[in-house]
Amino acid sequence: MAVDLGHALLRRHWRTTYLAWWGPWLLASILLWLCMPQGWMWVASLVLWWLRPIFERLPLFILSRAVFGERVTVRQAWRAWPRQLGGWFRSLTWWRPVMVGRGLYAPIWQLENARGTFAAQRRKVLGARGAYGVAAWFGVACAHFEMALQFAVYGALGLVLAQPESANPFAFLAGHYQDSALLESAGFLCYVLTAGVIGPVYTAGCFGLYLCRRAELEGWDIELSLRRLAARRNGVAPRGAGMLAALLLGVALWWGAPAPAYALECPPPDEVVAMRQGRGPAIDARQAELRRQLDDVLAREPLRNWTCIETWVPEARKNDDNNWLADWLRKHLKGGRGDGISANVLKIALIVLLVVILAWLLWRYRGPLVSALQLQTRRTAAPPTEVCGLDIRPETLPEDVPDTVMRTWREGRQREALALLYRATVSRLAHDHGIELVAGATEGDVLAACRRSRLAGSLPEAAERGCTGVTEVWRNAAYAQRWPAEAQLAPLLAQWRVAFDGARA
Amino acid sequence: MLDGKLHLSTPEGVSLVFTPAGPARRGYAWLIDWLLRALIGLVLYIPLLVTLGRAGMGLGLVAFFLLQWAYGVLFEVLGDGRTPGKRMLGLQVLREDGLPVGWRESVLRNVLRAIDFMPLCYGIGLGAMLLDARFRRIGDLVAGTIVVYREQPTPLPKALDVAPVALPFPLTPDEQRTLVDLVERVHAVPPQRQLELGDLAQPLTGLRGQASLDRLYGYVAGLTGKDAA
Repeated sequence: MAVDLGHALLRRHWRTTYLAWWGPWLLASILLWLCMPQGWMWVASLVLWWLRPIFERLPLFILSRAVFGERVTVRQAWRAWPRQLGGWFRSLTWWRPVMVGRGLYAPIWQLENARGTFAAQRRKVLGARGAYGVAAWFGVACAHFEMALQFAVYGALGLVLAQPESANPFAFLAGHYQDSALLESAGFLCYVLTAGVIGPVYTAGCFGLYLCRRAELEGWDIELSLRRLAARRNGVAPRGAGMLAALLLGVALWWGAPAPAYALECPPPDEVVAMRQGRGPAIDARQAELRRQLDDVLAREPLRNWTCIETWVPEARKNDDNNWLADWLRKHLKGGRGDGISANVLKIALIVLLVVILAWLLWRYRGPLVSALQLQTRRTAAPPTEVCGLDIRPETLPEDVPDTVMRTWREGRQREALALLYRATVSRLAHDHGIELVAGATEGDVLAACRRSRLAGSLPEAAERGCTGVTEVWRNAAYAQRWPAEAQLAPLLAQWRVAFDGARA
Repeated sequence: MLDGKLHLSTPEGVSLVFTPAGPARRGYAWLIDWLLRALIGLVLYIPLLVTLGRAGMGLGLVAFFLLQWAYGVLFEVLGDGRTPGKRMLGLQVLREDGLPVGWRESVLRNVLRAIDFMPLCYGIGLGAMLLDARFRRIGDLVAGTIVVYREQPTPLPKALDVAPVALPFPLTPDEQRTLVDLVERVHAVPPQRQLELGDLAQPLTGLRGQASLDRLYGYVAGLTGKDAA
């Protein structure tokens, strides 16, 4: 879980982290690509792999600051990078590059700046209780993810570039591209891409694990809670948790870029063989030698005029259906040797029967099928008859709501007037505008539902404004006994008429 | 707050918390399942091949087909969302709303393995998991499922053999839980740090260092069962 937490941290800061990683990573890759002679690209991959502990310090630097809410820009990270490289020599030598769980110890070297015996003690403490095992397994998993992604990139290339008639989508890696420089570069590119994706993931996962271990060892969460308690008691804002110092690193497993470099070989086609055999016997040893050399040259690209392609060929159909059913059918059908009904008629009849049976099955089991596929659209529930204890059925409302409200108001039944106004508002919202309300909804719920619908675009802004205005007046009156002035009510009613009866008029 | 958890609330207002599981852990579970399937497949296939010849080969292929496609579905639907691999690693498949998976979801997410596997070795599935905040692969996205950690029931705190002390002022449930947590975990913390934590508790206990810790033990003894003296 701690590993996944690191992943969530990375996701939140992915832009900075990946940009910071990819800058130097890409630069180093291009330099290596330019420097390595053909046939040595695997060395370039190996060098990149070897240098990964150095690159891993960038995401670690950014994430370790991000944990405490400090936002580091890409430029700042690059500028800080040289100072984060303390102990790089040890990181690139001894057993550290091949240590799968090095990510867990990287913060000790880089962030805590621990060295020597002290660093060894810290490693022992942090790696205890199975933490190092988790980190190591995570390293192994990341290495496999890298390989899986590499295969996937190869596979994607293969699927896109394969000849349509080829039986093997990966033949392009061998058969059709004899250009080994391209193959090599493709392998290197795959490594750069996949390691560039997985590298920060590994660092972030291990950093999450490191944080979890420290929190567990030092009771960070308890400290925070105690501080919060003290703050509650004293009314003092809690201080943030202490800042971490800095340092360290390791390497992930990587197998060389897989390049199945087999070439398809096949014997020369019959024409070529026939042509060779058509020649008379050689006059002397010199001519025989010459012929051998010529054949040799002609058998190679670009002079040979045949290619080897592995492809699917339909097998010759074996005509051995001599069982009793076939015999009986041949005897009784017109198409065969017999003189019954035509085989075509029978075929059409069988097809029709099949269609009818399928249709019947679909009809018979339409209920379970529809529910299994959930095709039935969810019927929108009819609006409830009452909300907040108010009857909102449209038929209970008077024909002209604003007029009735005003009349009731002038008759001195103020509460009744406002109740009618609010009830009419909710009723219009539920019935005309399709706002989904439940019987127990409060005024606040209705407002929230309005806001949601307006944001979703299904409620006009005027209606939401009308609802807000009416709700305010109604709340003040009903709960606080603060009645609006009549001068205030008139524009509200006019607004209401526009918002809710505009469409009806 | 960044805690990698998924909070759902039911119509009754009960809040449920799930922790989606990341690609590494799911990868281990997949590997275990794969090994198991390969083992079962071989154990079925070889005797069939030896005894029945070509017919046995056909039956064996049917068995492999079922192992490939039905294994996940059957275990997930009938086994509480857990294949043997997931069971070993404490994972569980759930619907996005926290309900158990049904046939529809399970079949969908397992059939779409074919997409996740493309172009080779789960390239698309892995990419989707890395991009999605809940680590869902394409099959999960389409079927509406998530893979979560199965919460282990936390053991009840042990009653302390200390004379209980009444709290000086009421604490919120969260704060009470913190105190119980502290007493449970404080042994794993280095001694100096223990004293620091004791100092931090001064506003509560009015004491410092070890004396403060001892007082906390007393409070917790009261919280976890014994009547305050």
